[in-house]
Amino acid sequence: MSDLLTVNGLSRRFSDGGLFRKRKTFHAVSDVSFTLKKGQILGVVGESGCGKSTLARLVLRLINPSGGQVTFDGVDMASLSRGDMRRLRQRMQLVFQDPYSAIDPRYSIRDALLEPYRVQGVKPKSTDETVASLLDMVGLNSSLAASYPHQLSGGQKQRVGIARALALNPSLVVLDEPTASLDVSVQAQIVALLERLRQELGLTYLFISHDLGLVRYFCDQILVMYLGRIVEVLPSDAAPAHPYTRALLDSTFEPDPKRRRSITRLAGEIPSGYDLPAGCAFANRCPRVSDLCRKVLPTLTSQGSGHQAACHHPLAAVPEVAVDQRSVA
Amino acid sequence: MLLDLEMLRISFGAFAPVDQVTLSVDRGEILGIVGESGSGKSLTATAIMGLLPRIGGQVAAGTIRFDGTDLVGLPERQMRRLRGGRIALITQNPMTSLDSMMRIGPQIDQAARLHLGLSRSAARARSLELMADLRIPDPASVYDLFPHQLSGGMKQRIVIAMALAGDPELLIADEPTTALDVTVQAQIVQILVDLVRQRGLGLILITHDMGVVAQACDRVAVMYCGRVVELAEVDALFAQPRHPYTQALIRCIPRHDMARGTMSAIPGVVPSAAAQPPGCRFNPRCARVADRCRVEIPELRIGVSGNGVACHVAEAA
Amino acid sequence: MIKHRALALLKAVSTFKGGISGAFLLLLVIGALFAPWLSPYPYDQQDLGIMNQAPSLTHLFGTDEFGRDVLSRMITGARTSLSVSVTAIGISVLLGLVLGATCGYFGGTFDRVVMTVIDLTWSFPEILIALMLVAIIGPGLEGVVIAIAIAYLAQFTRLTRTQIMSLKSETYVEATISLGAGHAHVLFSHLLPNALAPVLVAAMLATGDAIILEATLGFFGLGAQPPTPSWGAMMSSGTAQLFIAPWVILLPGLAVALTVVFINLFGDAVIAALDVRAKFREA
Repeated sequence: MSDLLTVNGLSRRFSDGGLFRKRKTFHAVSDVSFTLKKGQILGVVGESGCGKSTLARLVLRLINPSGGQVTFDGVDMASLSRGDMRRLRQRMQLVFQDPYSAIDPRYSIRDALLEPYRVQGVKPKSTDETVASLLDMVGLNSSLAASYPHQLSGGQKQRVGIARALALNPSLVVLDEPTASLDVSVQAQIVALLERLRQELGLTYLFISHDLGLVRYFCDQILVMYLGRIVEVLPSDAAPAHPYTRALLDSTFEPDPKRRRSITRLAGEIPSGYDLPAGCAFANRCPRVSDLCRKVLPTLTSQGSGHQAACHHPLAAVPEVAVDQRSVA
Repeated sequence: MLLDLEMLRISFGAFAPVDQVTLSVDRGEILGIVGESGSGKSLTATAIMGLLPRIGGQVAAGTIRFDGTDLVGLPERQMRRLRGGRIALITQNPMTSLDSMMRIGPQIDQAARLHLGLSRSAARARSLELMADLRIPDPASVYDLFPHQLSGGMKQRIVIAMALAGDPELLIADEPTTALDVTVQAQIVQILVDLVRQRGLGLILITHDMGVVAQACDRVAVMYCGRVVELAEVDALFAQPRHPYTQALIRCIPRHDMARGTMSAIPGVVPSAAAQPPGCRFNPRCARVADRCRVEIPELRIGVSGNGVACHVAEAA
Repeated sequence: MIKHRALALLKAVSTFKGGISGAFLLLLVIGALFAPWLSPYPYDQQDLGIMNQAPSLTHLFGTDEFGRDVLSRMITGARTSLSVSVTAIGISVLLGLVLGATCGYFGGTFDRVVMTVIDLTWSFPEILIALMLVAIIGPGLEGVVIAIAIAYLAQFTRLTRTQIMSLKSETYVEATISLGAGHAHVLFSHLLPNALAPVLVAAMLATGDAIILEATLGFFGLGAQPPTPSWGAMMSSGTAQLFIAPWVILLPGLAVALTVVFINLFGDAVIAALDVRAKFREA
């Protein structure tokens, strides 16, 4: 399979402050590199402020990077003119976290679904048929075409968001937490829909989520981000080598009381993206921290095939251990 | 029993979004109430807190027995003494539970001064102690901060401290971790579990997340469209879920050993309060629906084990 | 969407406040449009034999110092007052939308320069700006229209700019850009239509103010030139006869006051109707 997307050393900094305050720099994304093969699902997982949403927008060039390169199907996006970039957008689409605000409240579902064609100057053969087939594709009744967004449930709106993204037959779909604001049962429906569409249309997904359990279920390969950097790249069935990934996994509760987690007290919370420490950003919360971690930034090193971790003291590959908390307490 | 709900019916005009709810929680026990949006789980909590009239609803039938006293029809004066005192509520959004114009410390002090009659200095000492118990670093300086200076997880700890300040016997936590990051969610769940084990409180944990239920609860009430469809001890519920809705809800969550494409979804949507189907309210979405389910509402039958299910098919099996 | 806006208007008219004020304004507009046919006498017909007559059955609102029928002059004056203020506010809104949208959407140096000038004019009362401008352009209705339009420009530019800036960060705007939309599509298909409602409501309320401003300028003799009547000019010429023929000054004054009150009431009703819809949308 060939590479659809290659990201190399991508960074984005934001500055604020100025006249009366010290100018501060926020490192939203730092030195991120990965490749995404055609037909693959790559998961990006991390907690709020880890830069995963910024990464999604950098990849789609909705915001410009401070450094680094994004190559889509062999084309360096930085080399494209404004018009060429707009045309390229047909091939890469974004599905948003909040389906409630992703559709203009004054647009009917029909208008919202036809907007991609209008924007790209493409005239569908029959507008009614196009709308009906798009709705059908995402499992919605075509009678919804005349409704307005406020008349739909969250799950229905997210289906419309997906249909809109797929209208122009894209190759790459970036899914920015598409189920985070939905009920679990609706989440399962949306995930099943995404899986079916990927197979039917040969799509490639970049799936962004805070839910490691969901990402492990849905993705082939996972990037774990912490404060703007990739701390681990792992196949979805591999045991984590980075203590942060381990902590994320331990914080994800399985629907099985026999597998209760003993919560390792992950001290503290995520520090701010301003004034990052010199060494490993996770050092102040890490149970395995050493002096080295506070001074030297670890780089991604191989932990086995398709598995890399940025850690001076990676965990040995051990099978997951489930601890019944009640027997300990 | 610390709290006993029997055949509770909540009405808003002609609608009864919650009906025939029977459940109970004892001291030192965690009862999970699980369900999707619109299941009536939060309304049930609102009813226990006696706050229904504020949103235009009322208890139309049934009893809410707290430590032997029926709270239904209790005069507001007495209810006010319980609320924030012996019964405390932790809400989903810590941002709205805190007064942004007031420093953290005095907000925690309030309940202790109001319900325990402590002096200003005694309340402060107690608040600092509570904050230390909840592993808030450097309580003395956090005491003087404003809410906006704290992270989401820290704010939720402050909200828990506020709830504990009145020395409650029953704690109701309504989706206490939904707005938080996963590592912080894990910490907060652990804090709640520890509180129950150490202080012997009764805790009602309202959530839509079966993972949280499996992690923290002793017993579980599964709600759908305003009714309890299954009530069971946690191990039994997950080992042998009896109601088709419970089974489907558990299967909606990806497990570590699931292959892609094997997670199953519940077809259809939760009906609105105005469009409830006749018979069992789950019947249009149920994989095991029988003719009887379409006409007759199944009642929750609780056996000697304390477990029960409201399903014609499961009972017949 | 046009359906929705019409619905809001319908809802506004169906309330007590909206209905009464809407009916009054409708009558006023009809009166202004058909002034030559509705006036009982030609507005400039002088009859020195019936100077300063009190209201009677032949002259319902009495006559002025030249024996002209006050009612006829007021009806024709309504035409002047309304057309001047509506035109002026229309120009002001159009300019404000263009400037505000450009500033709010693109930002940068252009935004900073325009907003500095706008903020500067914002800090003077409208009447002062209008007086200054009329002094430069010279008296006459065109001057008054331009003066009022510029006097209110700051308000509409600022309002549009704030609207555009907050709408710019809506997810659906980002969604449209990610489809490959250019600036024109984002501005004209999403931002401006969503920003329009509050600007239109503000424009309606400003029309009331503009009527007062026009009357004030007319009162100073800077607006309509005789014999063209306007409410302000009528009041101005009436001051001399204040004690002999008070109706000459009081009745046009009352017309100004009533019109402004009803415009404001109608504006309130429309705001309420729009708000109801916003709440419905959130629920």
